[in-house]
This record gives sequence, C-alpha cells and structure tokens, in this order.
Amino acid sequence: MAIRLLKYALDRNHAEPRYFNTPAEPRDSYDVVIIGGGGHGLACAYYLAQNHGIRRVAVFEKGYLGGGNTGRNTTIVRSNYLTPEGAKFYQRSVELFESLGEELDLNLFYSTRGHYTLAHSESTLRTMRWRAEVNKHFGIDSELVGPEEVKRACPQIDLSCGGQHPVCGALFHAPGSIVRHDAVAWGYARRASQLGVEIFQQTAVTGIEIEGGRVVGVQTSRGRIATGKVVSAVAGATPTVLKMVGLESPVDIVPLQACVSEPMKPWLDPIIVSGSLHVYVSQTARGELVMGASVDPAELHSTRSSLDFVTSLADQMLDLFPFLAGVKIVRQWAGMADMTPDFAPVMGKTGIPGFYLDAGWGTWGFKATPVCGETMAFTVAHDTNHRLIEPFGMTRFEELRMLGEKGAASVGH
Amino acid sequence: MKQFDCPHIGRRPASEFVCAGGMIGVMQMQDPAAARRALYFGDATARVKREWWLHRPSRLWFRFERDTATDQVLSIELAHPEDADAIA
Repeated sequence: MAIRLLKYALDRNHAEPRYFNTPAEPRDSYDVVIIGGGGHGLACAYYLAQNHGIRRVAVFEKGYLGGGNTGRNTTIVRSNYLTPEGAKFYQRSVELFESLGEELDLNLFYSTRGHYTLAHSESTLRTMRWRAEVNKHFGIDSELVGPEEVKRACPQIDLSCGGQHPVCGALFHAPGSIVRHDAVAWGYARRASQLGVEIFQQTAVTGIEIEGGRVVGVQTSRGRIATGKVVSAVAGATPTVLKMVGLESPVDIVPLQACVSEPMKPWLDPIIVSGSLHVYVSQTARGELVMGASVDPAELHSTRSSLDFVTSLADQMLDLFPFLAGVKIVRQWAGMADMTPDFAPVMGKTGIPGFYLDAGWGTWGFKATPVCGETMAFTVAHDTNHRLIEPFGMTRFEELRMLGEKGAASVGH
Repeated sequence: MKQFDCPHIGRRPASEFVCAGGMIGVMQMQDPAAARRALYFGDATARVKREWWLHRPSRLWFRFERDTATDQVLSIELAHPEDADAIA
C-alpha cells in the first residue's frame, strides 16, 4: 500500500487528468473573448461551443476560476420570482440545473430541499400570494402554506420568533435546491475546454479596443488579442469594464456578506428564508449552516467582511432557532454584488456592436448561471437578444420600464 | 462596530445612519431626459464620492465625502448649516 502510494506520487501520469489545460500563450485572435472566468462566463463559453459550434473562444480571468461571486454565494437555486419575466427566466435555469450534472459529467451535489420564504406580516403574505399565482401561471411549483406546515418541515423553528414577529405563513417552493457552486464553474470549464475553449487564469483584461464604433480587440496583461466580439461577465468589476468602452454604469457595487457555522449533525432539510428578518439559511452535506443576509448599507468596492454583519445575522438567526446559541461561526466573507435599481439583470447587446453585457446580477446571479450561459451564447452567436433576455436591456432605465423584481434574495417586501 | 466621527454630533455608530445615495446636481434634474440619466447611470467605479446621509435619531441630513474603495469617510458637513444652532 505504502509502495503503491509512493509510486503514484512519483508517477507523472496520474489517473485523474487535470480539469482543463491552459495553452502556454493566448493566440493572436479569437472569435469571441469572454471577460470573467466565473460560472456565467464559463457557461457562456461552453454553450457557444456546444450549441453553436463557436470554439475559437477565450476566457480571461484576472484571479482564479470561480473565485468571484460564483464561489461567494449561498448556492441556492429556485425560480419562484415575482415578475413574469423573472419567473420564466429562472424556471429555465432550474430546468438546466436539474440535468446539469449529467450534461457536464460531474457530480454537482445538486440537492433538492424545498424552499420556505417566511412571512411575518399580512402584507408579506399578500405579496407571497401574488408571487405564488404568477409562479403557478408559468407552471412553477409554488404555493402558500400555513405556519403548521413550516413547523412540520422544520420542527426546530421557533414560530413565535422570540414573540416579536411571529411567522404567519410561508411561500413554499418544492424545487428549491442547493448545489456545489465551485463544481458548477469547474464542470463548465472542463467541458468547454474539451470542446476547444481556451481558459486563462491570472490574466486581466485591461482595455477594449473600439474602431469605427465596433469592438476590434482587447488589451490583456499578456498582450493584445484581436476579436470582433467581447462578452463581459464580471459582476463587481462591471463599472470598470463599462468604462473601458465609454459606457456609463446602471449598476452600483455593494458588498453582500455570508458566513458558515461549524458542522453539525443534519437537522435542517429545507432552505429557510425570511425577507423581513434578512436571513437565509441551509445546511450543506458537510453539516455546516450556510447563512446570508441583506446587502451592506452603502456602495463599496471591497470584499472585506464586517463584525456588524455577523452580529446582526446571529441576532436574527437566534430569533428563528434559539437552540443555536452555542454554535460557532467559523468563516465569513463578502462578494461585490452589482446591484440594479429594479433587482433584475442587465443583459444582451449594448449600444456598441460586438460588446455584450451580462451584468446586474446583484444578489440573484448564481441560480441563473446555466440560463445566462445559454441565452448569452445565443445572443452572441446570432447577434440578436435571446427572447428570454429581451426585457433585461440596458435602455429600460432611460425609458422608465423597470421590472420591480421583488422576489430577489434579501429584498424586503 | 463601525462608527462615524461627526464634527457636529460626535462619534456615532454607523448603523444610526442611512445612505441616500450619491449627489445629483439640481441642473440635471430640470430636464427629464438628463434627470433619468443622472438617476440611473453614472461612474460607478471605485472613487471618492459625495453622498447624502441621514442620521435617523436626530433626523439631520449630512453631506459625506467617502472613498468607495476603502469605506473611509473624508469629510462630513451639515446639509443645512442652520441646524448647527439647534444641535448646540
């Protein structure tokens, strides 16, 4: 056994190959350059190659793969959004997620738990009833349930919430799931790479060249690359990339923080969310509680995390689950969320031919990873916005056609 | 806990304040098209920004100069200088 292990360690041909290979140097030109090697950018690369046969594609990532918001969210997947535009879009994402492990040939630990959004007031129940009816109209499994149903699914919950804001019902969404976020990025990267996409980590895009009003290339930390099409999928760096092409930003950058507890025996099967208390929590396969809250109070371009966040989150968590008082928080972190005024994304073609934007993903981006990849790949391949993303154009702000997506995470009602 | 060192009301917890966003010029608000652009578009890169902040307990409005890369507050001034007499 020891000799086998030693031989394996010294052998250069390991049985398990690397997830993807990076060429020594980028080529001089690509058909499509994708800025940002997170889930969205990698999914777009994969669907470009898989669905549209466009394989001369490069993904440039300034840090490491999936190291931005793809690796910083709370991994919840659901589709019970409020607006018809949002519900249809996220429903397609859930469909793609459900078969994604098979498609990417990788265990993504996709775990369907059921998702309860708690109501602590009559007005919240009213919005939830509205959400449930919109959802049902589009064939999404979504219904209003009473407090006894919440107690049955999660016996540990204190429905009185310490007597301050008792739970009076919940929006139940049976397909609500959690999924291993890193694996989603790695899976897309591996399949895209197998199809010919080239992925470069530690390579920053520093400028976008425009000639005659069209995109003609990008400047990177590893030299100039000619391309006619650039996709920006950079979340918190969106304003910086927009500045490169001379566009003003409709998104503001606000930190969104999260944390995990020490591992415990499994006790929490469903995903529990309270918009009024600003908490969402699920238990991972490892037993840790993954918890998130609302965005920070002001714009900030930083992934620092704060004591204020973790104390207020713990306070709200203890209202729901008083028995957690002795449990320790072991890690906390933040991501830079690119928030839009109406809590819906900004996607598709822009005023500059050849420049495509996948942004405005605020606190709702991870669950949209597959559908963003699919629709952005279509949009780039045909130079026409996919029908599912038509409502998400940047001009809606000037035209005052906002979407008002109040079903987004951490949005109070 | 994060605190703001205010020259008018002293050192107060940041949680007592609400950020009401960046400052928009009055002239921009008079033309509807310019107003829409000013409301929804801008330079959102990290920089020193002038913002409106409300101190909730005292209902006083302040103008902050804040670095959105570091969260450092560079200056705080009262929006209505006549309020200074009321505080004193």
